[in-house]
Amino acid sequence: MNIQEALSEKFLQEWIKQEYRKKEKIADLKKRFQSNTPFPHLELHHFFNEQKLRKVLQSLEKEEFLEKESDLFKFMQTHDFATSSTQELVEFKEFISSKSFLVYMEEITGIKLKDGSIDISASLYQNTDYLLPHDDQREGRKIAFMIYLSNLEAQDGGKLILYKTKGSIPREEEKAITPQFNSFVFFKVTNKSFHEVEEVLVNKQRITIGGWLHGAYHKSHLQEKRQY
Amino acid sequence: MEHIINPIYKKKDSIEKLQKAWNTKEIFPHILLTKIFPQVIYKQKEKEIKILFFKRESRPDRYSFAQAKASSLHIFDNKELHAFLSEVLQRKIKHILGEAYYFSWKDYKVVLKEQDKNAIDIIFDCTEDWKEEYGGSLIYKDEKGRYIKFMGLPNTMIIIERKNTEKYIQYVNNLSKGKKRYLLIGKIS
Repeated sequence: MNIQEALSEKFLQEWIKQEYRKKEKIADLKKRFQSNTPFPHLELHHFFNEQKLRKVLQSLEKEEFLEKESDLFKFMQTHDFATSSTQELVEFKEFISSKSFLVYMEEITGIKLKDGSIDISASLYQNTDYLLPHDDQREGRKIAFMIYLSNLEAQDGGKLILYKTKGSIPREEEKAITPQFNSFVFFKVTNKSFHEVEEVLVNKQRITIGGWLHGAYHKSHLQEKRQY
Repeated sequence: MEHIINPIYKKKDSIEKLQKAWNTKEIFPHILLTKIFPQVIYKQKEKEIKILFFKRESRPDRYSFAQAKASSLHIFDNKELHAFLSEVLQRKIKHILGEAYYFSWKDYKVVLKEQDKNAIDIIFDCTEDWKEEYGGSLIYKDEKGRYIKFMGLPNTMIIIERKNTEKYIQYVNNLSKGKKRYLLIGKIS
């Protein structure tokens, strides 16, 4: 399937707003993805069909969020949508893992993706929750993505912070992305893709859907993974 | 010479109880000694710790804290402490390597690869007025995901055998509101 064929698919037309399906727009996104710093990424506002995304958000109310805590994080998360009994979530996973969406993402990022191979779940961060800086590198992960389902102000915390690296060591914060409903953020996973979710500082909920699109796995890509 | 160990811990039956506790086959062999120093000594040490020259250390993917040399406190090089620990642990303790740290809002230390995962950690906690909800707990975790957590306590010594456990200090969150968690972290190899 090429990008023209992908764009004519019903799934893509139903889920992605028309503005983001235009040829010129895609060409522009392709350039911006590569040139954005500190590592290739995009932040796309009002990306999905809002009505459909609101239904996804509503259906998350029926999902169980489990507490997750380690040295790196504290937040709540659902199981992968593949195991959900909620139709909207299963359908959303089907869309994100569909051939047409993967071709669309390949066109923008220039990264070859593996058919149907994705992880996707929802996360809930509340006051004091956080995710410390890490690079996301793990077997096969090529693109990390987040879909924001709540609105926060900059002073509320909960921003996605992207780090500038020296070699493959994160040094300083370069970009901060404040969650806005229906923003789609994604970045290329490499040994330089250090990012964090800043601590939420207020009694607001930060709800996101996130996961990874996978590609071929080469062991050498992970040489610098957490060797400490 | 002024004694630094609380006399209650130096009684024969206390030593026996501590030896027994240390030799118990627990998942995380450890001893927690509250009020380890007499109050006057503790207050003096607490004051000295707070005026040490702390330097901020940060590497975002690993740690963020303030660190200071602890030698001027004469805690880890104290002969009485060495003799006490030698008795409790039933091995000759001549040397404890350690530094002073404080963790405040946004500080943490994730699990790091360590050279000697079979050492014994000696921790002197002198954190006043701390609540578990602030984060900043010292956590030891084994490969099965079981863990033991030490939240901030004043005048407390923790002796813990590493036994290949991973160690980290939880992120200190915004509820800590300007408070600092002071720790002396030492090691017997």
